[in-house]
Amino acid sequence: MNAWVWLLQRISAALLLIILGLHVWLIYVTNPVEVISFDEAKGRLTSASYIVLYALLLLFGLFHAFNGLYAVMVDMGLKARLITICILLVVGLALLVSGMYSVLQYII
Amino acid sequence: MSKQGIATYHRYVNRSQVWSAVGMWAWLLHRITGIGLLLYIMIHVTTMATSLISGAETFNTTLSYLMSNTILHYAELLLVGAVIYHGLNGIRLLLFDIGIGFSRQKEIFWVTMVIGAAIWIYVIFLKLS
Amino acid sequence: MSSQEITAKIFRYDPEVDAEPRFDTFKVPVIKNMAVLDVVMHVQNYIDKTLAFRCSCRIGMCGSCAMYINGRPRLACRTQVSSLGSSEITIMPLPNLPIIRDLATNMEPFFEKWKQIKPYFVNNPDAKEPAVIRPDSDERENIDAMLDCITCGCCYGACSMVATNEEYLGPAALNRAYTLIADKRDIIRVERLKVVGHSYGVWRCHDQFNCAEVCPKGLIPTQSIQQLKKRCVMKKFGIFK
Repeated sequence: MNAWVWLLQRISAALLLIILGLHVWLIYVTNPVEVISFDEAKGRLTSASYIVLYALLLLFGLFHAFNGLYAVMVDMGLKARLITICILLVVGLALLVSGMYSVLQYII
Repeated sequence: MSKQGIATYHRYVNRSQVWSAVGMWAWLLHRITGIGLLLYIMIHVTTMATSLISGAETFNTTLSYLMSNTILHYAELLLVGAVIYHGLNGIRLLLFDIGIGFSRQKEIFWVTMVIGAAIWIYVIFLKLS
Repeated sequence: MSSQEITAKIFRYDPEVDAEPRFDTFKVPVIKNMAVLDVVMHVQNYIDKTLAFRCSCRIGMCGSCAMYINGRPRLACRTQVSSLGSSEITIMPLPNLPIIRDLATNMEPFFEKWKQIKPYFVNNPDAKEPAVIRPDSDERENIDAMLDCITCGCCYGACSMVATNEEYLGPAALNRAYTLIADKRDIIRVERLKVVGHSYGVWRCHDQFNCAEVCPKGLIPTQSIQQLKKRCVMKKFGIFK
């Protein structure tokens, strides 16, 4: 199990370099505006490639971050591992689900 | 705690890490930026998700506040710095994970820091002008 | 640097008697090519005979005199006073280990973890003897750089993961485990991989490199540990080399 999680952390890291890079690029470099309007956001969220980008960003980003936190906690001597995993899963999934819903809301 | 345990803890708190080693700082900063970015993600996902779900009015009010607030405007540079550091040191770590760079780990660190500083300074320059 | 004497601040603590550790300051005359071991020897011989420390070979091969000197774990016999670049030396016991007295630490936890990885070769009784891996072969080269461990504990004392997690096996044990797991003649390689593959084994290493930084033999345990991680992952895909 440890080996799979370790591998996923590295894979998500490599993918995030690209996906996060794209995310920042698209928001800030192409068509930079003073304030992003709802219409602009909605426009993105009706395009398939943007939706896929956000979905992947949420999935890999949240996994990488919460798994990282878990690793730090175990390093620091965390003993109650199962309950911690449950709490982190609940919080992480809550963010993932709400994030996914906000991104998919115009096509579902 | 046993007497031996107390002495060990006392020493750890006082003096026991290898602060003169480059790898020590690289590791520590990677953790600090990691936790910082985690906190940011949690706030960012929550804010964006609720704004998008709440509709045009809430979204526009929230976004115009966030994107025109002066403190946040400059604090964003810290976020950029954290992402750059964590990402570039992360690339260094990925190199180790595929088995290369062990005898040159310090040099690789400094190369990533130079690249990172260059990018960060460029972004700061863009933001200030 | 040609000072006539140096100032040594030495950590003192007797758990039987003292409520808290303290530092005693000693002025020690400098001799030619003085090592930190000479400093503590002088203190014990001429100033305070109650100072406790370990030493044996005094030539960097037994690993007994590892101490935390001016901010990092080092072998006292192999640390030249002149190399520290200061006339003030601070000597503390090796970190991450319980203290017996003054500079002498209890090495039990270190060797408990050493034992956990079964640090001895187990031969295959059915193998055709002599089972040889030639010294000049690629397979032997894999572990060449990692064989010189003298179990001094410097790496163990330097590692921040050892400092914060009592159960982490640590760089020395994992380095030794690798030299054996990489040896195809050993028949318990797979069990050993399981031992290092649990949560407090290889996965607690995050490439801090403190171990490599302080190893008096120039070993890089980080690299051994990475090789172990690679094998753990490959095993999941059904490949074990």
